[in-house]
Amino acid sequence: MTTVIPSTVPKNDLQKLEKLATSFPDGALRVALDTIHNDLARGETVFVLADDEAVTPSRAAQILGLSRTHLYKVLDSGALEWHPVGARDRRILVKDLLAYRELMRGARRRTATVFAGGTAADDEALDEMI
Amino acid sequence: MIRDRRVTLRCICEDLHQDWVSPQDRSEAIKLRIAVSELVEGRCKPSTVAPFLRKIPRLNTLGHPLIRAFDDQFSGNDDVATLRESISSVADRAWWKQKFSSRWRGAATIVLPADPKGIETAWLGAAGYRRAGSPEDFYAWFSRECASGSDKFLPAEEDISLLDVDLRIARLDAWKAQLHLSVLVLLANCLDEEAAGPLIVLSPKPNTATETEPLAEVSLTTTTVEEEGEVVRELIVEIVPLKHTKLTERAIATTLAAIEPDTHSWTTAPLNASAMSHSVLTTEEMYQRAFNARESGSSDPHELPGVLRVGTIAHYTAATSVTQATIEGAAVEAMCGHWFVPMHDHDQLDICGGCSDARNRLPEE
Repeated sequence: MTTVIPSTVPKNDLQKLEKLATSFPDGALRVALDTIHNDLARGETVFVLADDEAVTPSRAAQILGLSRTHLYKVLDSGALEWHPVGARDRRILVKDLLAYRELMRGARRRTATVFAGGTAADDEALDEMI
Repeated sequence: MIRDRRVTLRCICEDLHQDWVSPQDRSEAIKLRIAVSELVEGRCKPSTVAPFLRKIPRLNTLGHPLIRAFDDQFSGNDDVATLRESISSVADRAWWKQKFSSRWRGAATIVLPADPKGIETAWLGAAGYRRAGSPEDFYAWFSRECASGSDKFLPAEEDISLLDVDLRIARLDAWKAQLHLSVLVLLANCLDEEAAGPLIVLSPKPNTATETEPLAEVSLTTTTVEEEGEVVRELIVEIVPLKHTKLTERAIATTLAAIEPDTHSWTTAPLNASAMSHSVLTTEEMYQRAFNARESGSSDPHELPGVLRVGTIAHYTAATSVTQATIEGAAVEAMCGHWFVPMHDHDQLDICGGCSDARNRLPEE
């Protein structure tokens, strides 16, 4: 796994990357390079991982921004796939981690909407009361 | 004896046309009546009427001197010492004279509850000016109008519909207050034992004889985590929704608000199926509120059940649609990973540390 932190990338290199990306015809490679460029330009840390690569729970927790205990709740619930390594250790496939990350973003978006509901949401709940 | 007091919408909007201490009460009541009429005709739901109702005080405390006098007279606090004069010319039911100064006169009646366990309600059904000796005097007019019965001055369908909305709001508020307290007690137990629950959240008690139904299950656990070299205690709230309704959403918001009302503090991660986990770092203040609630059996009256603080911190977001999101109330993702519904007036707020860090990581200009 390679980690690219945006602040370590000189702007010049970022422009070179953008140019390089546009030199490719449309396709997966073009999209990949564009994504790396756009994410870095937005200040997002980029992890380059192989699809079938596996990470430790600690690494997964870090990538998801959760505490280890919180991540183990998620693993135990079955929402994020994992496989055992040796007697006690677990590993998580990168593709599963990324799929879960999307699930988490959706859940956070919905939760934010519930949080912001306020009185109007209370009023809507009145319709369900009998 | 406890007695409810209410004023018919017709009386407020048509009879009490003058002398309002707070005239906006009457103009809001007129708007309320229009909304209620649509509810009666089935063209809207209670949720449409509720915002109008929230804009004015309870109907028995509206700013008109005759309403105030009626509210006092029929409070039920001192019935024995309260002298009431009936309107003798109307015979089909007891109507009581309600007076204020030498100017206003009214007619009130007491309606017994349909449910024997319910409480009776005094209704102010009509009002007008006193004009002694004139056929336009209120009591003379009232007697003529009631010549073939006084039913038309009883609460109408609109008043009953409004009462229903009023009761729903009261039941929802009571339910939220109860849930708020239950969650604080659960939290106190969890802080002692490291785990507590599940707490089964039931729907608000129905008006009818049907059973309450479970809406969600709430379980709490605590764990120690290292945050920037410091050992802190994290609380994880697991919520399993058993029904997918607006009430369930309100139960979730009320549960989390009881523990930590600041939405910025929460980290959400989905569990299997539709279950959800939310983590938050514990604070001294959280311990205080939880243990106080468990000890006293009540929560601090300054805490508002179900009220979450949103927009306590300003976030940076890359979302280009932030203006649109503000108008539509849709959530956007901040640079720190927190999702929020953007609001106006963020200039005065502190900027989120996570977002500042993310912004500082941006490539050099």
